[in-house]
Amino acid sequence: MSVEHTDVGAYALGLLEDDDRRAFEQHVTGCAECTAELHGLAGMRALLTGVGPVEADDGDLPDGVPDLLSRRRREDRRRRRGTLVIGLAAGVALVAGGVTAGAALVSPGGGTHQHGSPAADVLAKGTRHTATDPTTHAVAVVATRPETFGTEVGLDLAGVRGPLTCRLVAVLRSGRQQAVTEWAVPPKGYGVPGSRAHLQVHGGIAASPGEVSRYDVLIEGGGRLVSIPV
Amino acid sequence: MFPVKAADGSEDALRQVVIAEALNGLSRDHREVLTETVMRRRTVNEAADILGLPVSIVKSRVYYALRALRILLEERGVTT
Repeated sequence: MSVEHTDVGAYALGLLEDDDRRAFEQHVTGCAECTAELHGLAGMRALLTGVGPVEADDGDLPDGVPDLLSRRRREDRRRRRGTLVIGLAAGVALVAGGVTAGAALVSPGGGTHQHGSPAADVLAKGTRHTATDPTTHAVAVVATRPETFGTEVGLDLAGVRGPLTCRLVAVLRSGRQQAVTEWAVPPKGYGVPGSRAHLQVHGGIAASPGEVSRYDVLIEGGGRLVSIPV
Repeated sequence: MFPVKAADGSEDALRQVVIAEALNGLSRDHREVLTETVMRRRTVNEAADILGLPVSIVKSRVYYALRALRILLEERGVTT
C-alpha cells in the first residue's frame, strides 16, 4: 500500500477506504508536512459535507453561478422562511434533498415553530466552530453565545448512525468538564444517506465561552464521537 | 452583493451561497471530483469506479481541488 502526501486531502474529507486510511494514519504520525496540511484542511470536510452536488444543470456552464442562485431562490420560495437560519449543514438537504428534507431539518423533533428551535437560533447567531472526526466520520458544528448564566451552546451533528446515547460536554481550560446535554441517536442516524436530517440539540453551561477549550461529543459506554476545539 | 434574503440567518445564507459560488469557480475536473466523492458521500475508490479513473488520480485530484477551493473561499472571506 503506497501512501502519497496528496492522500491528505482524501483523508481530511474521510474519503479513504479502511486500508488506505490506516496506511495514511501510520504515515501522518511521522510526517510533519502532512500533519500541518491535515490541520489546514480540517475545516473543509465540515464545509463540504454540508453542501450538496453543485453541478450546473447543463454541465460546465460558465454562468453556473447565477443558475445556482436562481435555483436556490426558487427553493427559498418553496420553503418557509427561517429554514436557512439553520446554517450550512442544512444546505445539503435544501439543495439536494428538496422540500421534505428541509422541513425535517427545521423541526427534527416534530415541532412546527418556523423560527426554529433554540438550537437553530444559537447555531445561526452564535460563534460557530466545526470539526470532523476522521475515524467516526461524525461532523459537528458547535455554536456558542455568552449569557449571564455562562454560555448557551447549540450543536448540529451529522454523519452518525445509532443506536447510541451521546452527551455533549464542555472541557474547560482548568481540565474540568461541564455537561451541556444528552440525547439518543436512533438506528437510522442523523445526516447520513437515508436520514438526511441533522441532529440539533441545545443546552448551557455555567462557564463563560473563554473558559472552554473544547467540546466533546461522548458516547455512553465509552468513546468519543468527535471533539470540537474552540 | 448577493441577492440573498436577509432573514434571521443572513450570515449563514450568505456563507452557503459563497461556498456554492466558490465550488463553481473550480475547474470542471476539480468540481467533478468533489461532487462524486464528498458531496455524494462516496469513497475515492467508489468515485474512481464511477469516473473511470485510477484511484491515485482521484486522490490527488481531491487534494488539489481542496487547495484550490480553500483559496477561492479565502478570497471570499471564508476561513476554514
